[in-house]
Amino acid sequence: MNFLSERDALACGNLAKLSGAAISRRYTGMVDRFVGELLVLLRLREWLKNTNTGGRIAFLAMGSYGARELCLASDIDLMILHEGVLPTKIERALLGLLYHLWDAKLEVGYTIVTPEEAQRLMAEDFGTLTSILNSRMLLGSRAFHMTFKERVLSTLANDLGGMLGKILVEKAKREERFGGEEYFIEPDLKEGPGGLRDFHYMRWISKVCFGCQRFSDVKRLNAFTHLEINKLAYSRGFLLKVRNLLHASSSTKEDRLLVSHQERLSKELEYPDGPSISAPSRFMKDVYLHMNRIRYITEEFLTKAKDLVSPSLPDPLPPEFPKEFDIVKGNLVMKGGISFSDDLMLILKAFKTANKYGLFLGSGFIWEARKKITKDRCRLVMLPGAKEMFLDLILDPRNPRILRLALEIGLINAFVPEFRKIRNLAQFGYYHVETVDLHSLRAMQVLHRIRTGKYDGEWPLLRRVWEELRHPEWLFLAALLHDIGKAYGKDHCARGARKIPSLLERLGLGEEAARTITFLVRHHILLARVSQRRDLGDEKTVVSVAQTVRDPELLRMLFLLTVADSKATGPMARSGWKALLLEEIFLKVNKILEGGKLAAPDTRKVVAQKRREVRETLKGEFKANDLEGFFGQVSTRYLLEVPVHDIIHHFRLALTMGDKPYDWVLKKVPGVPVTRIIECIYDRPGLFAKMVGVFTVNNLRVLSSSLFTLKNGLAFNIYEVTSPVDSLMEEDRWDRVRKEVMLALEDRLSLEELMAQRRKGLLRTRVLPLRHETKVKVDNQASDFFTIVEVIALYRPGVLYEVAKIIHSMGLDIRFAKVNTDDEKMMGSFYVRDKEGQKICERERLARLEQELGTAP
Amino acid sequence: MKKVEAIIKPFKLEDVKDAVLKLGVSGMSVTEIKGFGRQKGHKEIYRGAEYVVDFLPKVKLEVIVPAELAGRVVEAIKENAYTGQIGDGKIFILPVEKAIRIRTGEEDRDAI
Repeated sequence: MNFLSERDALACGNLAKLSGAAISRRYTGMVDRFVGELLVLLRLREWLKNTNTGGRIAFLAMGSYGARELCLASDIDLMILHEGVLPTKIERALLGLLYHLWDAKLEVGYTIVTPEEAQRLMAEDFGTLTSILNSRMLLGSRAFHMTFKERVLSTLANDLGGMLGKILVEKAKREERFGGEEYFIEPDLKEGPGGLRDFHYMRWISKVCFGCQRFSDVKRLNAFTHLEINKLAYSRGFLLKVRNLLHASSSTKEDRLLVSHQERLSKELEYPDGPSISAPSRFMKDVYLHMNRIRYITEEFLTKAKDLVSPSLPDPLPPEFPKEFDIVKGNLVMKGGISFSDDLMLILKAFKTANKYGLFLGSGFIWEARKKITKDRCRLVMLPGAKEMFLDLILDPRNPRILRLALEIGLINAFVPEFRKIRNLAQFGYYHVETVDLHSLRAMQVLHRIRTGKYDGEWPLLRRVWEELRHPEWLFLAALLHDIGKAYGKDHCARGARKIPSLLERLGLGEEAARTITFLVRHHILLARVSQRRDLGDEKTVVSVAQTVRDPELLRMLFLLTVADSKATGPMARSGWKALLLEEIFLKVNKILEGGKLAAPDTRKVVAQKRREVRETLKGEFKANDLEGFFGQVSTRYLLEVPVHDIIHHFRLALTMGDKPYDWVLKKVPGVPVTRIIECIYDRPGLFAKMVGVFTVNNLRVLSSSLFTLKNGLAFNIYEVTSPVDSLMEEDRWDRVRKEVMLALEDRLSLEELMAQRRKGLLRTRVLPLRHETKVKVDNQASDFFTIVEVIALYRPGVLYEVAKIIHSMGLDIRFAKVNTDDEKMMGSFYVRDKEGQKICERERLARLEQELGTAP
Repeated sequence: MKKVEAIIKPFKLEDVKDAVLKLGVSGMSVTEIKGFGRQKGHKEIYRGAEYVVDFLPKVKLEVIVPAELAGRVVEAIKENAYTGQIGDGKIFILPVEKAIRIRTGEEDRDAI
């Protein structure tokens, strides 16, 4: 037999069409035949047949070879059991056997032992013990083998508790190796949680502790009637198949399903690519499904086995504990005899109780409950009070492991069928290291940690915000559902949000809850995205977020949901760096919302309406792109406060100005001697002072002015001035003003002199130094972007010029201004920044500003 | 060979990265850092509690390029990281003595 070519034929054949168990059996059979041939060739068979030499020798297949579960790259484990001295010729023949096997590229492990030596090894090494449990005789004395095996089993039977204990220790060590993680991008099919090793535990225990020859026999025991043997066999077969395919194609013996293999295997197994989910994703979904199933079935199996082998006494019950349950070692269990078939609600009651008292759910809940839920899902959901109890669990989760269990046995899927699509759905991306369903549960866990103050040391703001929430329970639900749209491919936020209203209605939640949670799901990436991708130093960025969120309570919920999402995403995402940006945007948006105007409910409508009108009017004259460009440059403040017809003038001026440093349009106000100057001008230091100065020296009293600087260096201004007294010479007068503005801009007009002359020449002036009776307020808190200077001064000609000059002389840049004057007073609000574009930070500077402008009361 | 190191505002990363890659630079490193210079941190008051940020989040970008490309890289960064507001960042150019590709052992120009 040419073993190598037969093996290659199997490996390169259409493995995908065979079942996992079939592949392993076929391969094991192949090895059996090969070994058999070699045994004949090396004359071992004829020697061992001879009772003299072959009396007390057994040639055994061990481990997975013995269990007929070999995969294409598995090691072959052999044991040669003998009594007395092993004849030299047999030893030599065995060596010859090994050489042949090695030549055939097989990895062989072997031991040559007496039964006593074997017993000793088994006591020392758990791996040897379990390997022997799987032993199968290839050649030699059957009686010898049987006696040995019986002795092993009876030794173990004396200390079943010890055997079980060893298995649990092994399991714990294995789990520790995998770091206690819930999920792995590249799961280890043999040793990973839910891998084939788990299945072996169950097999060994059923053999040793319950005397079952075949694993399926264990179902005869009362405790295991609900064991889903068929499903388990199917999952095991699936893993065996994948493992075989993996072995067939990788050049090294690899049990980890590396990402590089996932694509190839998904193609071999003919998983289709879909519009919203790729073939490898589909494949991995199945892998996780099977591994999770094995994992949880094993958990329950081991718990039940322990109960049977070394039963524990129940723990003392707290007062008012439901009568159907007991507590054993911190686990909630059914009081003997009560089963679910009578009362489905018991399942929910158990979860609720466990959640309330901080217990886990023990024996009896994983299998029976899962079976019940699978079979009677619709009935359970419709039972009166069921939805409420389910919501109780979700809206106030205290133990993350309980939620995980609820997910695993299908409870969450029963009440939220939309969740099914994201079950076991892996996300491939730089940050995500968990499947979507587990990520959602983890987000809920983070919220719980916020609530219980676990982050108080690292980020105290979180709990402060939490405590202001009116409906923190809705946030848990939002966390559960926030990524539901991921099953549908791109744009998961909007897609998920669309699913929410009907989902919540089905669960019996009110309209306000539905609106809130829909909003949260739709916008759950808003804060993270804006804080990382847009300029937080730009007021407009913050205002636009404020306009989307509109409500401080929604902002608080959105902020905490973003934190939960981010912390639940993965180690890279948990750095404090992104947290800084998130905190900044939260605080800034909150300030805008609490300040009112810029983010009032109808702000967006008003602004949108104005934009439409401007576009309509100007669309014939200018390109749409140019108009949009200006909409991007102006602040929200401008769009809110300036009337549409003025906006139209400004845009037109800006787009037709060309090289001129400024341009304006004059409009007379009907019925009064007032002229409006709608101006577009290139911003420069001291601009406002210059403009106002020129008006003043031309006897044009400034009644009001509004200043709006754009991002691109232009300024859109509006002044209302008293019209020149002599209406006949008006045009000449305005010409002169125009010329003087030009000169002033070029610093060729000596404004100071002209002002001084004018002051001397005026008959009717109350000559009071500016300092008296001027109220100044410098507010550095109200805005995150500007220092706001408010001045109320007694009116006199030139007062506005003085104020503007002082502000300019202190090195400040006026970005927005709103000024009104009447007969008595001048009132101005100036939004300023320093030369670097920041708010004024130095306290002395703020003090000096106040002082220069007037003494603060 | 030169190392060009730039500290920029976080939201400018995509633009700067695209601009630099367009010049034919084949690799770069990005680090999330915190820093301050003349742009000071800020202080917020929320519900009576102060939240002070001394260090501002920034991004550090590092590329190694042939000396003749350094000037263009610096220009690309300058243009794309600019906002005109304080805190736009800084660029540093350092000389690089040697570069080695670990996998193949290639050196200097062949390594970058």
